[in-house]
Amino acid sequence: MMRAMMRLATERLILPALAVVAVGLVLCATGLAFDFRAMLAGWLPAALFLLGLPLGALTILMVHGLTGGRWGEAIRQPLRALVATLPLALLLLLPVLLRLDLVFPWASADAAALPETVRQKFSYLNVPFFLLRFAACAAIWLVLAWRVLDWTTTDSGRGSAGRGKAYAAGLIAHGLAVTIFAIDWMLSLEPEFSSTIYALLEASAEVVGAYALAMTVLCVNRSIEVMAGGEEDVALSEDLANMLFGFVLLWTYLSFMQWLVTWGGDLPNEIRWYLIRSSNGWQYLLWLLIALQFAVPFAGLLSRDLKRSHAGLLSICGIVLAGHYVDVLWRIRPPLADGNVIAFWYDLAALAGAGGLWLALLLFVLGRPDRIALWCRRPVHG
Amino acid sequence: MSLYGVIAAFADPEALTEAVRTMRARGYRRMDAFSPFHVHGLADMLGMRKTRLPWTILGGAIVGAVFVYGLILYSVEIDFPLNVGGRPLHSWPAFLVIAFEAAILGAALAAFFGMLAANRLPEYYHPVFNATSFTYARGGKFYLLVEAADPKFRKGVTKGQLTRLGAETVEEVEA
Repeated sequence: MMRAMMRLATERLILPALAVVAVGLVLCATGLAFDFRAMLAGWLPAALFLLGLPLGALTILMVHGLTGGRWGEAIRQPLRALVATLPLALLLLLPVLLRLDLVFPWASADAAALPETVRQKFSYLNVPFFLLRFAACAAIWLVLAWRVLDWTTTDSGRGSAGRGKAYAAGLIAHGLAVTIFAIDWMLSLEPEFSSTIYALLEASAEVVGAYALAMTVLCVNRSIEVMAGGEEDVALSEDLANMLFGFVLLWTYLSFMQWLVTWGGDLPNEIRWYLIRSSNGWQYLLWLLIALQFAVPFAGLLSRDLKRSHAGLLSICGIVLAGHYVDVLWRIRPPLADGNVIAFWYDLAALAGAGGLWLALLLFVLGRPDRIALWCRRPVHG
Repeated sequence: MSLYGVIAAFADPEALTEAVRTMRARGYRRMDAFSPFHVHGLADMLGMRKTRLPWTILGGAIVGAVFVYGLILYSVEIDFPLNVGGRPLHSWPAFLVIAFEAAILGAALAAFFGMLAANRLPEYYHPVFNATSFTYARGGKFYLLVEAADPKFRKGVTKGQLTRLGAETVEEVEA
């Protein structure tokens, strides 16, 4: 009966989401006609944010396949639904592929005028190789999503027993793909900047976002604060919240380390990445990011009472998810911006169009989890 | 020799919790229970206050971080100012790492010593070890100790009540 109620609730939300999509896409089309470059600049952060959610869910599912644990079995369903949205999230990047030259400096018409250090990177940063790498990453993820959705079908937990090697191999392939993807689509927006920690930072940020969203879905559907957790006296919500705490701390650690190394090195090519992001109003976004993705969840998740309160969990998860969006925006948007606050309507249009479309698909899958079976080409019982 | 209280030994945890509940209902407050393993809900029934150890640990973490940050600040600003690569003397990003480590150390020390203090350890003497039913050879049961300092304590009456609650043995404990 609960499942039926949830189906009704989620499917009721699909139509409003599609209405938002219509408005958003009309605005996006207007934006494209108005200023192609500005529209892509607004679209890219939204698309990367949305793609990060299924990728993060994929990471969590594979890590849980290796480690096991009650927390992962509880949160598996929403994570599987997130992974199932991967194809749409990949399609959302296609508009950017049409005009790479408008977004990436190394692909632009005046690429020859770039500094010597960047021109030396052209053997890697060129359009055909970029497209080839993106196709390879997409192929790896689609295969992984297809396999992982199949492996995590059973609720018995049997899946993790004999599949340790498969999950490990999957994680290695996933790690490589995320590394290439993060360098290509995020770091190469400023080709003079390099950071070896960045790919791991992106992967951990994806995990934070996907986990916060999956936990929100779980909280909305069930009273997880009264379900039994891994140990006596511990509620399931406490275990789940502690995992969120761990993911947030990992992201904080990696973000801080990248900054500490860059700050310590104090080299013009590297520190510019931070200077752009801490001036012209972006510093307010940075403060917001620190508050939403570190300070508030850190202080909140220290409290056991909060981890056992339904409203508290929901708000913490919402705050972390919002923080993840701010994180993506803060990392991607500044080099594409022209210093005009009004240009943010492009972001809002892209978020409504792309985000609404993706959300409608997620709700569609959440309403009837057996729809994930479309991936596996075989009926799922139950 | 003065009387510290009476100790009753029960065969199983259910009998002990039942005895605690009944004695609390009769108005006894100065009681203590002993068992070989954790008995669910027993601490609540005895009216023990919720642990304040988490606050101690938080305090230890803050003290550790502030102390070490201050120590670094003192050494680079006052004691031995040293210009490293043109960076400001107060290079807080680098200090945060050490301050964080010190916070963890402070939290761990606060947890360890706070736990000892909360349990009043080390304690070299406790009257309960004078009871023969509590000795190593005859132990392993579930015990309820009612202190003589309890306002409701009447030696004969209390012993009778404990016996009727199903205690295997009821014994007086010398201080």
